[in-house]
Amino acid sequence: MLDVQGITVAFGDTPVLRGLDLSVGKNEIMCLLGPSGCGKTTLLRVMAGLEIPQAGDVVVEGVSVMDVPVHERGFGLMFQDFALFPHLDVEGNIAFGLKMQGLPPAQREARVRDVLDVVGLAGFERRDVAHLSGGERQRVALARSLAPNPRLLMLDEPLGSLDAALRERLVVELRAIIKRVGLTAVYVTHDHHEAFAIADRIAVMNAGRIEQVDAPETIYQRPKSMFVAQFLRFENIFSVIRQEGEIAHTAVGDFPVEGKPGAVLLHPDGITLVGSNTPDAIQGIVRERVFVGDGYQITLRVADDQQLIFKLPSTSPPVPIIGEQLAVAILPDRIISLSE
Amino acid sequence: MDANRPALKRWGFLWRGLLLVPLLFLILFFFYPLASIFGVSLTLEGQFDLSEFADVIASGYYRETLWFTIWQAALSTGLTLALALPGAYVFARFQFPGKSLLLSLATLPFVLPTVVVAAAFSALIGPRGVVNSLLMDTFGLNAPPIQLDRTLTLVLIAHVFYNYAVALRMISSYWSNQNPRMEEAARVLGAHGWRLWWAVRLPVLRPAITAAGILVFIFTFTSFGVVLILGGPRFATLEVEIYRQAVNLFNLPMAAALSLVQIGLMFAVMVVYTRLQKRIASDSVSAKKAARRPQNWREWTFIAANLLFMTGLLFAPLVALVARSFTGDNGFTTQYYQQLTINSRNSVLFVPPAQSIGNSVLFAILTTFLALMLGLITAYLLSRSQGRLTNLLDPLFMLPLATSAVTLGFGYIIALDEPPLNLRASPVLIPLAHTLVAMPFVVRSALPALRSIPPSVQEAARVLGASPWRAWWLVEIPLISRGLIVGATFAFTVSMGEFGASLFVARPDTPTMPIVIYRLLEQPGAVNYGQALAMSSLLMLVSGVAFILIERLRTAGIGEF
Repeated sequence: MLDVQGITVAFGDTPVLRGLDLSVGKNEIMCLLGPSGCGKTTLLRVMAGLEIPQAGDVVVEGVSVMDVPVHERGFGLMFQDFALFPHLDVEGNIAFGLKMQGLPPAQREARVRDVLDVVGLAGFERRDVAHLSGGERQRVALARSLAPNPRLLMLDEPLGSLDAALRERLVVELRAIIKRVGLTAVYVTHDHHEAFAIADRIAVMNAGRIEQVDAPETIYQRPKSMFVAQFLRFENIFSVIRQEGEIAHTAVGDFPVEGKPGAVLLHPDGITLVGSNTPDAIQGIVRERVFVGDGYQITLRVADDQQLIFKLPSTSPPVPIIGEQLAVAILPDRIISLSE
Repeated sequence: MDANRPALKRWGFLWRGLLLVPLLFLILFFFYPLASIFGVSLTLEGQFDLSEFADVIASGYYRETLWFTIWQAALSTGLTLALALPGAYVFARFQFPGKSLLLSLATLPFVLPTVVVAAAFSALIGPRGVVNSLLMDTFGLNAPPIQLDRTLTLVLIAHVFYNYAVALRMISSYWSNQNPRMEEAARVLGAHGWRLWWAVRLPVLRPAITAAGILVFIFTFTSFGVVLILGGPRFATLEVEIYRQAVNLFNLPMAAALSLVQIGLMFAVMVVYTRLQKRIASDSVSAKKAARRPQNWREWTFIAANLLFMTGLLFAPLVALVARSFTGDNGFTTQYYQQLTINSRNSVLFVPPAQSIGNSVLFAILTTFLALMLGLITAYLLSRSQGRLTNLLDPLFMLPLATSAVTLGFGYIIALDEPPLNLRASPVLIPLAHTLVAMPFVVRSALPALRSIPPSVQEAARVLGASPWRAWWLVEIPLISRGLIVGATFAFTVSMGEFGASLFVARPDTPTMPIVIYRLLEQPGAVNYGQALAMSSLLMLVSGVAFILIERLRTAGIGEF
């Protein structure tokens, strides 16, 4: 439905987007995930027409929109700071886009009522936006973007300014609303939990390029590059010192790999305790043991002053103590090859 | 976050063209007249020549004038600070009924024209004033017992009247932002009474006191109307002397040299002030406001004494002005108001005083329009672009505020009376001069409002289908409208009351209200005096209405002064 082709943007001498390509399918929620400064917001602004790229094309349903000005693109954009109009009440805000479309007042009113219902704020028409709570503002902003029935809904860190508890609740609700209305959406965030919860597919961005585009499960289970793995806060990433055929040598041992990876990730799901005389087991000394509720996080000091971090369920006694000698094995399919 | 840049590229060309307008205005009607003053003072027959300037600087008369200007300003500043400090304490630390109303009323003098204030003090304690008449009637005296007319004392009192509220507001707002726990700590450590003031309060308040002091010094150093009218011929600040040399004695090189000294000194002081003000702004911590209700009779007395002084200082002259304007030889009369419409001299050039009301209103409307247009464009320029250009332009557009109106008026008559720009015969000079003085107020009122609009709000309107023009009209204009109204009201009021520049550029047949008041005050006779007070009362009414409008609309964010 949406095709972004070779988008290049530079602010002065600083490249922000470097020939970026991305496709979003109809009714798909695509999440742009990356650290701040990676260009994800700029990409969104290019799609909206608020930023004019030096090169590249934005194609919607087969038609380029590069020459269409912002206000004629028919997209919806939800801003991180919500950007509600402080001089208008809730209804005035939501009706703004409808007014721009030239909808008669009666229909406008009906539509405002409908979208307020959708976002769960029925009866809020006359409220002053300055007196709404953070969550309510977020819903009004969403309602305002939904009201004109946009071809594409873009959301720029829409939960970024809310507190963590509210964020967790709203992200689920947001996905439900977008799916119910049946919209194509591009969602920008720097929080991978949020991305996992909302996205059909995630595009992980780094320094103006896309590192990996996949379903959330795949992104988590099989990150492709060192950047993606580190961005998801995985531990146990070891660079490949030397590679012989399909075997890579690292500071903590030799592992089977695919291709020519720069590093291997020993996925925390695949680390298990084994007897000390098991072949290929990694030996180490427990350095830290932290109770984390549903288990213990163990930091194991292994050869060459490296460390392995993994979780043991609290249901598997005996709990290792600090200083104890342990042996662990890695499930072969949880050894992930990472490109540089 | 990724950088937010306004997508103004397509509009860039038109935009830049529009921005040239206020810049051109500034060059033509500010820098060119100023440069002409330099020309008169620093050249002789087309050659750069410092001898004339040096002669002026070396003369004893000049040094006396400069010395008087400095010490009367210093004295006024010291008096104002000493009187405002206890008041600031009351407003910073105590909560009492009517507090916010009083605080906003205290800014009234800010919009009162100097001629009105001069007339008001004359009506209160002048030889024909309310107090003297009362004393003479009560004790059967033949001569007014209080002889303050044309004395420095009267000038100083008027200066305190003008600047009391400035100092009070600056110091008390800074004070109320200081953590009261600090004082409590000092008390626990054993400080109390005078030592608490000396060792803790004053040092803590020093930045605010210094900034207020500098501002008051600037205002009183450039004092013109008050000194000219209340001081009489014996006293002259640089400003008054520039006027006298240029208009009465036609000694242009002398006037130009004095203007140069004035401009140089003011810019220097202004730079110091701007630095300090930035520090005060960043210094203020958002501590819990510590205003509390007074707890014992001593605190109540202290508060009452201060409020009494404040209301007396601020309102007694104004009440006296109105009362005196309705008082004739036989009690209540409206004759002074009626006589305003009569052309008493039947001279071609001397018009009925009431006609000046029409002139003033017309000039004020023109000024408001011009100042709004130019000020809005300037505010956009300053809010949208960042970087070196803005850093350069921002103070540039504020320069007229630091330049005295008299200097400006003087520059106009020497610069704009010959080709290429011969406007001497044109009444348009008045609104032009007023616009220059008023424009900074519009910019300062609109700029904070514009800066407080996040770019995303305008972008949200665009994404929702509003063309740039509609987004501007439906979103930005409503959001800055309060700031614009405040700016426009300021512009209107400034123009109505402007005295210094008008005195130079007003043509005899198109005088403004302040000029007519000045002329009437200068002439002998009870009728002239009564008419001056009547006209002043009318002008005060205009300022008063404007003031109420401004105070009602001004919210925390509007107006960076």
